[in-house]
Amino acid sequence: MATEHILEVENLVVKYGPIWAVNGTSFFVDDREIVSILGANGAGKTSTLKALSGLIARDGKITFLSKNISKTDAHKIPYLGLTLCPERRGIFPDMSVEDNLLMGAYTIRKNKKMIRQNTEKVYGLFERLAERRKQLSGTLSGGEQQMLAIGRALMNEPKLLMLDEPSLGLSPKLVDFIFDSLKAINKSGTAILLVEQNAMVATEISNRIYVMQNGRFALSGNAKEIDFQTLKMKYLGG
Amino acid sequence: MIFQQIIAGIITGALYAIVALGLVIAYKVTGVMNFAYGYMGMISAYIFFTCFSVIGMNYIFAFLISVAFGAFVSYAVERGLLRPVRNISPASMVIITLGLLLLLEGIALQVWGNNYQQIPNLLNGLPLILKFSGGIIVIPQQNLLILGLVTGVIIALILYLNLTFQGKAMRAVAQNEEVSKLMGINSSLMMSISWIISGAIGSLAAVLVAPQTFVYPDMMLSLQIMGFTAAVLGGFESIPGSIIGGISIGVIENLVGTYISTNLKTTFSLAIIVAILLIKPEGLLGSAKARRV
Repeated sequence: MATEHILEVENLVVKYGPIWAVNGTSFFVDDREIVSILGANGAGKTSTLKALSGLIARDGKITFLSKNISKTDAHKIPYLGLTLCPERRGIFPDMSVEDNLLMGAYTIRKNKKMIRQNTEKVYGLFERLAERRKQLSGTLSGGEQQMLAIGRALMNEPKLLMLDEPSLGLSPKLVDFIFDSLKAINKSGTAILLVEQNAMVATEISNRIYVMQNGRFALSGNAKEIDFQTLKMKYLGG
Repeated sequence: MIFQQIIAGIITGALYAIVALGLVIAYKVTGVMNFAYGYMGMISAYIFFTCFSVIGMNYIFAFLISVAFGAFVSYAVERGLLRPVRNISPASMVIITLGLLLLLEGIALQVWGNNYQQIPNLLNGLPLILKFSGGIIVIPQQNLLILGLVTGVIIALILYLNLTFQGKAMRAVAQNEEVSKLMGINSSLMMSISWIISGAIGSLAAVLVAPQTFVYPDMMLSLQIMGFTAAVLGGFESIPGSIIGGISIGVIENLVGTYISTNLKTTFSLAIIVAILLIKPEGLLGSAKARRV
């Protein structure tokens, strides 16, 4: 089978009033790939992911699994197999770990068996969550909350998992753990679109990267071929 | 005597509690403090009066129609008046509910006039009499009905929010609307459902209290104020808090009315509540956690 892009974005534009956050970007993600969008604060990375998940108004053409989703409402997008794990984790603090995961399974709520299986899969991936399944998620540590956010996003078995800054506010050790988990998730067949300020760890696990600057891609290419020092000096502010 | 007053206070408090509950559920999910809440219930009481006393319908049937009507009005208010300005100006949503209060009062005056209309109790049988060594407690059947219905509504609501998938999804929307959409939850539908529940509860409270207050445009004024107070006392975000808040206010009010002064009962109770809030500003069951922006 020819490699077909599972996600294809053409000329994406996001505006906040007169401010252009994303200025006509085009990119794609292939099946089973890990793609990272890197860039400094305010480059337009989060806006890109929010646009893809339908949370904000956007122009341009977004095709996911051969379906045009440029006008699709946010709550319909996870049904298609495209899920965003949001910036700052966005867990539901007044709910238990288990109920948070259950909310991630909202799109498959009729299928109790699948929910049970996926919950066990998530607990297998993040054992810390299994130990705390009855605990209110607002009382979890930052790292555990990030695991919960990722686990929750996996509950409906997305084809493409988008993650916004999963390394934010975590210790280097935890960052390594989270990124190892992402590699494992990818191995089991989920494509990943990652947005990161932590360029080094992201580049390490990615197949391809895009570097964003002022709403445009300044650089893109195979992660193995990018000269990391130039990348850092030139685009990411040292 | 004191037991009698406490029981009476619990009954009044139960009504405050469900008004508080109706306000809180709409507030938690949509973030709007509905100042027209009591007056929306008042319209339902008039609908009940019209169906039962004017048209001559069966009591239960009229009751159900008025509650369904209240639920519909509430849905229409949220969808038609509040939703369009939701993303433009959250503050103006509160002003809209204040405007709605005046509008509903005006409509009631125009349609039904300024007379006090009477509606009968559903249950008029012999009151329940409990005798024991410390004295005697008399509870009218209508009050037992109020207590029963309120308890039923509270239990049903708590079960819905904590045990059903949809109820949990509604709590998810209340905690983080944007993230709930990422889960595939239709947050706009959840908002509508929360207002439908809230409206039905408000109408229920109005129809239950109507035999005591009579039906007139301002009939719900005191219930609305006390409902708000109960919600604030409970922490405004907490459902158990609203219930405890409502019942405490009802009991305090009745005890003050009996042992201190009937004229001062509202003033005194509100003063006590201010004192409680000075000591515990987040409310009895509210959380003091700082909110991140």
